[in-house]
Amino acid sequence: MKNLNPKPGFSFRTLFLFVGFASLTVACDDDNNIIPPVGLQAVTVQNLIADTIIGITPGVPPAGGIPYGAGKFTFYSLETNSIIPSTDSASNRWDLGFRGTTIITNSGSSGPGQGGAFVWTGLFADLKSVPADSTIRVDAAPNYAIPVGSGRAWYTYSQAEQLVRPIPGKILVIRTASGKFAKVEILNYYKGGVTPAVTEPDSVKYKLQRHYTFRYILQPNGSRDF
Amino acid sequence: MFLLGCLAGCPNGVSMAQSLPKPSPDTLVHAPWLREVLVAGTRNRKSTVSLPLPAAVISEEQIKRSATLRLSDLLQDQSGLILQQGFGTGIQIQGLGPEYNLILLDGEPLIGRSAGTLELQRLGLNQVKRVEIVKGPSSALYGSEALGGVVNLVTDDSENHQNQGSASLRVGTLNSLDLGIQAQQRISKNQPAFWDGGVHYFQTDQYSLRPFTQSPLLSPLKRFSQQQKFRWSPHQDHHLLMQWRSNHDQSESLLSAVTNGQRVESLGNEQNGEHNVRLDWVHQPSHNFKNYKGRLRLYGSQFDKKQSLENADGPLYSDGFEQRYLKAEWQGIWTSSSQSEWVYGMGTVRDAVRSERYGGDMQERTNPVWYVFQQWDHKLNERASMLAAVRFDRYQLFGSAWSPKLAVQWWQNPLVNWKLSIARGFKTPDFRQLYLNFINPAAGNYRVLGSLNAQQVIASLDSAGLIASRTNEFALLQELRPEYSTSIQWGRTRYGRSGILDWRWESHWFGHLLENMIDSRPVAIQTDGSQIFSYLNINRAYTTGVENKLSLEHPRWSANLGWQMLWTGRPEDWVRIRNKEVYTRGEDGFSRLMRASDYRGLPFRSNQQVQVGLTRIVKRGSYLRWQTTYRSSWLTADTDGNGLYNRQDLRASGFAVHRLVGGGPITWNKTGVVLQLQAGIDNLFNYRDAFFVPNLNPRTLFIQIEWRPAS
Repeated sequence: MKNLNPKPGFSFRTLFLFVGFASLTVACDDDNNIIPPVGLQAVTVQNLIADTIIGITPGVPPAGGIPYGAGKFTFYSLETNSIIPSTDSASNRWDLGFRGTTIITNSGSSGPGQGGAFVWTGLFADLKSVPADSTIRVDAAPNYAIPVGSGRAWYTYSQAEQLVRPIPGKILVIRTASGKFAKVEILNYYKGGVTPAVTEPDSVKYKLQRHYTFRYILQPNGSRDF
Repeated sequence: MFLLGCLAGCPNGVSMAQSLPKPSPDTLVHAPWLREVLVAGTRNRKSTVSLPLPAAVISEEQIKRSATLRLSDLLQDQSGLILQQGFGTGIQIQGLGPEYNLILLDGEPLIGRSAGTLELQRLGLNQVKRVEIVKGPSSALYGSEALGGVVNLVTDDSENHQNQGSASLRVGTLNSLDLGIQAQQRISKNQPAFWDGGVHYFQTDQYSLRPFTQSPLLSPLKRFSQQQKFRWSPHQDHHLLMQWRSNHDQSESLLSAVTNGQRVESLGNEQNGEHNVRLDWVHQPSHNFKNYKGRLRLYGSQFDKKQSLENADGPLYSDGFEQRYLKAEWQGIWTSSSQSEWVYGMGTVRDAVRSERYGGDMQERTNPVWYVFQQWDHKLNERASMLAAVRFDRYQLFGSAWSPKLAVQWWQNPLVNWKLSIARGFKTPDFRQLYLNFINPAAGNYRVLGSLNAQQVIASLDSAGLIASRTNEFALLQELRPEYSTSIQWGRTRYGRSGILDWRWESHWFGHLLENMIDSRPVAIQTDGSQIFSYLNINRAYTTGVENKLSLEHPRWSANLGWQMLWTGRPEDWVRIRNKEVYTRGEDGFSRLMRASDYRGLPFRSNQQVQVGLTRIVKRGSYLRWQTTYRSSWLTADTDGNGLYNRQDLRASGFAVHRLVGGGPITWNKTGVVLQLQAGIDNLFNYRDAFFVPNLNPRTLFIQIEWRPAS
């Protein structure tokens, strides 16, 4: 029962899906938490920073009061399980890029690789093999292989609560820059992997958001099976 | 006693049922329930005892003793009624939300709904003589929106034609002030002509009309209302009534937010203006056709709403909404025999709105309708009676609707009564669902289009190259049809007596199935990635529950206890759960399949509601009253995004509010002046929940004094 009626404009609910522009100077500060892949064991990545909010435009919505980040993607290699510097954004070294709720693949308008993705519905463990007849989409900004928007791919965003939550049972099937397959489940969007309480002030929600926790399995041998 | 109230205006109905073996002053001692009469159930005066539908009547005395000023506060104390917040405070009846319940003033609908909710905090109770509540669909009598129930505010039922008047003053915490003056006067010595009128002013601080307002530093509300009524009987067979009521309120909120370390303050303003005008001509032949009573009624109502927000830089936001409602109706009551009574009626309504959200042009949109209805109230035998009704509504915009209703009542013995009714209700798509054209720049530019606009607007966006793709739901876009409900009510009422204590125990089961429900769905994606939503007839939902009500009446005290259990859901959800298509998030943070035990049905529904009221009558009209209302927790949002409401989603905690009120008369024997004094505390333990129940008033103390000159 989605209530889509415009909320009267007295509130200071600000927009969230806004994506800014600028530089990648922030690095993943929690490298220690990243477990290296062993065989086909799932890898969990925590606190991957994805263009955290650095300010709020002056004024009140809709003209102002809009939080913004530096505007750059955090590039990530599933094969090496590490962050790739943005200077290598035009290379095949990265597989996924994260900026706010936007996730790009190294394909089409986003990069030179053979990447791509689609959203598979089901449990992570139940995806044993990428179906042969599946359509792997490539990025064509602003229509990315992983669609951006509440309820469209992997998350929902509630305006009343100002929170982003991953949808359970949504698996991102990723084709890496080198054409290998991986399955990714986004687990959380907030620092420490804990969604703030709805009653927390917006300032806290802004501060903690854009920190991805996700798990993935990469099939390095090039087959479609996990 | 029980027949007295009926001498003036209503021929039969009541007297007909009188011969049934029902509780009487012989079987009960005080039996206040035998004096409960309501109009909303049958469009004719009828005792609740002989009405085959679940109903409740709040008498003028009960309204006065509750010392509530707003309809929302009064209804909150009623068994089975739950306040639901969102776009104002509305009422939930039998699990059906505000948009599915009809609020009537003297039998005519109040207008000015916002997203389906009529703001009940706006409605004052001064001059309300009685509140009638009929549960279950009443579309067979009232047409659209009467699915869950009907609440009828009666102001003109007074059979008392004495000259009288009163003035009252109430002050309380939060700078609340309430002033009222009313009077009734015979205006001609020779002719039966009466005037009845009143004015009323109310103001309070810290009153959030708007849910989810952040940091309302100060939000004073000011309300002025007045009502004038004129009755005249130019001939013994003909009676005229003219009534004009108006209500104006204004609310200001100073909002404050800190962005970039800077405090930004802005001022919000909301103004509502409402007028209702009614003209009745009642024809009741005293010689020929004595078994006929006809009424021709013209009713008009107008509602205007303005909202604005401004800061030091200038205006930030403004919104306007206007609604005009015009109705002409004839109704005839014909008593064909001592067993049968017929009600016929027909009418036409022109409902028109202008809103800045329907394309920004403030162009008038109308939805004319005409209708006919018929009702047969029939006594089957000494123990059983039935009520059959049907109504046909023909809308210009979306076809027609049939609303049948059948109800039977059977007396097992003079103190035990069974009721069964089956009925259909409907709700037409509202103007917002038809015409809305709204873009939200504050949340990614998503757009919401009414169903009549959707295809055309999307086509023009497409030709401008702004549409990336259409979703599967786009193909389902079509003319919206009314939403329907089918409902069953089955119950038993027991009356009893134990010494000088009378009691009544009502219990009933209800079930509603709603079909063709209108919900919004994404129908297209714009090239910037934002979605376009529109409305579709896609959902089905059910609500079912059991309500128990116990009333006790003793010369020195009375008590009432209500308990409702409610279960709701969508049939399709159960299918999806059974087919293992629904996921939720486990404690470990990973997705898992949703279990049937996780499912919680519809949002904003509390599984339990308990209501307890105790009144101690001290002496000479002094009393002390305690009222507690509890509702259990409810879900407010689908936070895990699986499209269902389950245990893992966002939940508001259950809570109880308590009210303590007392009062009594103060008399000066020499002067004959009588003052009624009342004092009380609302929300005694100061329950607050700014996030989920923002409109709940904090603890409020008040004292009220009323003066009634001896007539």
